Amino acid sequence: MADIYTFVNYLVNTGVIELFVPFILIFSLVYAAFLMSGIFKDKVAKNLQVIISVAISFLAISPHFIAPGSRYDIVAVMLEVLPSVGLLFVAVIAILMLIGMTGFKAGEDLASWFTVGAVIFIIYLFLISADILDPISFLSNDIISAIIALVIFFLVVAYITGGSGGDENKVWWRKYRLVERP
Amino acid sequence: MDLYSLLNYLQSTGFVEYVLPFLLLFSLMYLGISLIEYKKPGGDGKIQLPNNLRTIIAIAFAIMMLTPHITMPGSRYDIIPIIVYFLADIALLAIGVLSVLLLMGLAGKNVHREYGSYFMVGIIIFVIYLFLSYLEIIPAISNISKDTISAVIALIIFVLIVKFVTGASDTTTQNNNNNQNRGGRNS
Repeated sequence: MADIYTFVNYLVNTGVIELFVPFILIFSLVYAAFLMSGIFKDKVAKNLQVIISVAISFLAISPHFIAPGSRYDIVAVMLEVLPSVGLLFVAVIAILMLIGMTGFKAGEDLASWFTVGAVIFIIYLFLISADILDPISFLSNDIISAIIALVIFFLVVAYITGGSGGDENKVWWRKYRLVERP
Repeated sequence: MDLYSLLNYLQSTGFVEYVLPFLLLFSLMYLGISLIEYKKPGGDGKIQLPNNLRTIIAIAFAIMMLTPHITMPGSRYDIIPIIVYFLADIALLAIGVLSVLLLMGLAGKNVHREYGSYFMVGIIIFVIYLFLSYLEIIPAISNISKDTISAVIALIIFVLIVKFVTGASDTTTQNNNNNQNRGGRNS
């Protein structure tokens, strides 16, 4: 019986997963970038846009079969980075869902924080994958304790300097207090 | 065919292992790409990428994210088991938050208004912690030493006591002010 495992193995063996899919991804992204920039307008130029996109994407994936594992093999980099990005998406959706339970519109209130965090994390992943940065793994308990102590220190300072009574908005998280529900 | 057989069938055919994660990642990527808007060339207003391009990009991203699970299962780039455990923890957290909200609501507290911001900060910290621990950037809770956990619990209790004491003194001051105002009006 041809189940999904067989089908997936067939795709792997024929190179669809490791060659065709990265090609399509890079082609689509380059094509979308041309579309968004609006460089090519008339019909002939649009055909040119397709040819340039195909050429760029083909050249981009070519190190993966010419020199696999070399530092120019961006397919390997993509295969290392993209799963973590997927997990980041899942985590962001989980946070939005859980915060929604407490009555906040996190997508509006915290968008800038999420953006900054996501950009830093994705840059970190790419730097690790390109061997520019060493991965941070298993921080020692001392460092964890120091970070926790710093966070608590920061919270205490924020609490003390935040004032009391009607001046609650001085504490930074209080400004996300609650969106009134109808 | 009972439900167990159906679930076993779905598991054995790879539906649970490949199709469901693919659908999840595809949906998330499609959602993310749909948020991209750009200025229409030579015109006013913003437009989205064409629907077929969005679909293709989302499918390609989702397959690339799944690929390490196919080609190098069990490696640190294989996120499918991580997503499964992560989502289980998130579901447990959601049940915990909902239970606390229900219990506090039963006790007559306006939970959203009074404690919503604390819940929000706690949830964000906890989910980020789970996320980083599954990526092995920081140790999981089970690997943190007992001394650290004891210190954190002690600090939390200390902060709660301080909050309780200062909160009580604020309430007392407010009550005194209210009584004085009433007395002034009566006389």
